[in-house]
Amino acid sequence: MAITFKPDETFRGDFSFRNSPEAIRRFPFPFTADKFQYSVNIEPHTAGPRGSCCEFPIDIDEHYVAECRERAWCLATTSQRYLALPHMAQAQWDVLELIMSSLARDYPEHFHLERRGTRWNWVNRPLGIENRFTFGDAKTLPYEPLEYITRQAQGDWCVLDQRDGTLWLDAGMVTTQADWSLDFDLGMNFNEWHGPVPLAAELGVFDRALKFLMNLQLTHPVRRFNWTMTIHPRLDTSPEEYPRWGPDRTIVTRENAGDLAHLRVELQALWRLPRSNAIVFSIRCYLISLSELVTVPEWGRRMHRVLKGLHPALVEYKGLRRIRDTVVDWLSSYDAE
Amino acid sequence: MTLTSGIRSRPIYTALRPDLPGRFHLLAGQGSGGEALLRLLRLLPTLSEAAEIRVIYARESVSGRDFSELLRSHCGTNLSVVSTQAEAVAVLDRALSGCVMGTRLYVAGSESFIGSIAKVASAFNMNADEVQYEHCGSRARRVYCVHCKMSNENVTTNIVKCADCGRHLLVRDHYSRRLGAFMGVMADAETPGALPPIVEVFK
Amino acid sequence: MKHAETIPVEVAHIEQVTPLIKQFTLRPVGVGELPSFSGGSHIVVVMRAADRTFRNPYSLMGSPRESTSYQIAVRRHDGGRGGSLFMHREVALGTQLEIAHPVNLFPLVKLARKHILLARGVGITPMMAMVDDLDESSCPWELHYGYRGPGHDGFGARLRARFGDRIVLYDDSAGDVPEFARILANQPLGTHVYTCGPADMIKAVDQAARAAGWTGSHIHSEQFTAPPVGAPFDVNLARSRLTVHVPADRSLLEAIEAAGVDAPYLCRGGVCGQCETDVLERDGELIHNDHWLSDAEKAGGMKIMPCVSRACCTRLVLDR
Repeated sequence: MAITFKPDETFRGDFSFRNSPEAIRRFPFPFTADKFQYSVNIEPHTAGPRGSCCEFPIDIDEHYVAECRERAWCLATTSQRYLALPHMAQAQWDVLELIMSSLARDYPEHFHLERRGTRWNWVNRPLGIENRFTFGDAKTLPYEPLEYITRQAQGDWCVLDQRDGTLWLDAGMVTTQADWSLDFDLGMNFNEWHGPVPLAAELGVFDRALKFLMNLQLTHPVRRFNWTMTIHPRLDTSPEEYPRWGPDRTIVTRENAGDLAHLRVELQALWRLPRSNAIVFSIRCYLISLSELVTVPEWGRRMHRVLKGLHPALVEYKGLRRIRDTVVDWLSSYDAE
Repeated sequence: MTLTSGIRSRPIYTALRPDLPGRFHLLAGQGSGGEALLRLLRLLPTLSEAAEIRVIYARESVSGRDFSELLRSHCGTNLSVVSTQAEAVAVLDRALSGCVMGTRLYVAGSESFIGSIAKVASAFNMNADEVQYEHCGSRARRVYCVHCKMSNENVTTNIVKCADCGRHLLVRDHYSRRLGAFMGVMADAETPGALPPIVEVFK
Repeated sequence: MKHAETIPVEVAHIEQVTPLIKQFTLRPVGVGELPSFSGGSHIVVVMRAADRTFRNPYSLMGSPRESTSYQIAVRRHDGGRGGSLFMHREVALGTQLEIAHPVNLFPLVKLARKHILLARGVGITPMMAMVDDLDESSCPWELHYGYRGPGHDGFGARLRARFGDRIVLYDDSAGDVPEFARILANQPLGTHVYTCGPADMIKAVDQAARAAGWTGSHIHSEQFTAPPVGAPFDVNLARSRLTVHVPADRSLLEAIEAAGVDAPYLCRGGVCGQCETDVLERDGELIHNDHWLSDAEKAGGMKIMPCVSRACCTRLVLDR
């Protein structure tokens, strides 16, 4: 099933990103109730319905080429967005294998992987890339393996070492984040990097999640969904770039909220890695403008109610303080109740 | 973005106490931390009881308290006194390269000093069960500007003007062990010039 | 983890390495490769005997870079539940088995500045794979292997041939035993010690290390606790509404499985916590054989690890 890519979409400047009707149809709307509450909400990362964003373990959609270009731009113009501590070298190869084998298996019209022992040949047709390289020998690739392959994948990728009874954020490619810094968080353990998240610690949510992840097994990946809102379809909402995107929060009005305010959903998936025993954590970002979202009537209604009833600490933590009332106001006309 | 309290990434500091299964005790202190080292030394067995002790003390201090004389009278030749935190880090690095398993490290001083020492210990794969940290003296913070990557030392206020890029940074409680610093993020990005009152909060 | 998808394999080679230990080479049935793994991993092997199914964990001993076959070694236990006897007597060339995907509860620490591996008898098996990983790194390491006597040093000889002086061998029968205090003395900061062998060896290493001032974060061990046999007993499974009889030579978990109840498990050796089960009612004592529950939890009698533990009760109701 070939995808029609939209290579010239932008996630900055003129923000030409738009979702096709198909992209709207398969958007992972995250709310299952009219009120949002934290939960561990981890579920097996098994195949979802045909055409859904969970049909395959690693999802490629119409925005693929544009997102890869955006990542390349981000890496060229900002610093410390890709970092890897030396002891994660083997884990990098595990991630390269995971992404290459998934894409080649699930999108054979776009990707091809040939393996002869350690001599691999990788073809990425949408990006026009072909590389013959030796698996395990970083000198045979133009970048370190983790950087090389994540430049060709949508979403952020974090690699976690498991030791001393917890997980450590020891490598990552992070250019599409919702306001956290890889540079700052690199080297932190599970409790530390979750430090800023309110409420959940008191509920014991993190202890249960960590215990579960420590026992994550090969071939049994898990997933969960996270959400926030972004003004403009801007992927790079890093703290580093906050001076650039922060002011956007003040320009949302009752008139432009539909086009400017976007629901941002993260499909987070975690895999155990074979050779390194590390864990890779992917954060795949889906954006939809409110105008696009309300074309699905039940989404418009639910979004209105969730935002209206959101706990104040969550409003604050998700950065919604300035826009919440305006957005709720805009959505109210799509909720007859 | 604007939460500045109730964040859990900050390290936990405790009063130093002897960890006696340890065979070799390395003490590193700075400024006011000298008092904590003295307290610990009184509790540790003396050299004749087969526990080896070595002390490194940096006199650099915001509060101006200098414990080098008191430490000298207690430790004799097992004491290295240096002027700055940076020198203490270098001396500790040399000391650790000759240490063996069974060593315990005790650190006392400002948060910045602790952060710098923690990085050296980590390079030798010393884990949380081998190192103790006691925070002493000033609560001034090292603040890492997430925008220009510069570290601003000895910050006592809730907002600090970055010495490199000039942005006013909100000083958050989110702490990085790798950088030994707290996070600073632009405080008035959304409404330029509109800063909250600048207050001295970390004294 | 419930009964995960297994990989069908067939026995391609069997070698009697010592009088008590057989090594089995497992190849995938049909085309394809076996999954890569990290040194220290084990697989659960499913052995279908006539009247029961064994699910026993065995460490992967081969090179983690070898994807065409797995190597495991099984020490024969004559008085156990019969799993090792099945492997020794019933499994032949061409026998088909099923294996689960590798699980690693005994990994090497990537930030270590030196690794010391200590093994005895069949405890050498995870380390055969770990040294392969270590050989790829530049980190200093050494391995000390104790065996009972001549004829039992098969694995040791192989390691010596490949790695020379990094391997130190101790022949029990010659009175040659490793002195843990001496081995662990004066090691550089960041050294980690890994022990695999009988419980008394693991305890002795732990004591020697701590006496030398090592801390727990640098001491690692893997113990192969085969579920001990014991007096038979009955158990009531509340959610399944079944009463299950646990024979002397079957573990509680095996009896639950044989009754058709799909209980979670992972290591099957009492260390990982996955099979932890709540005790709803109890009249009598639990016999804890695991290394997962805390002393308080064991004393409390409200939790049990069915993969290795048993009970002596007139009434026992579990939340399964």
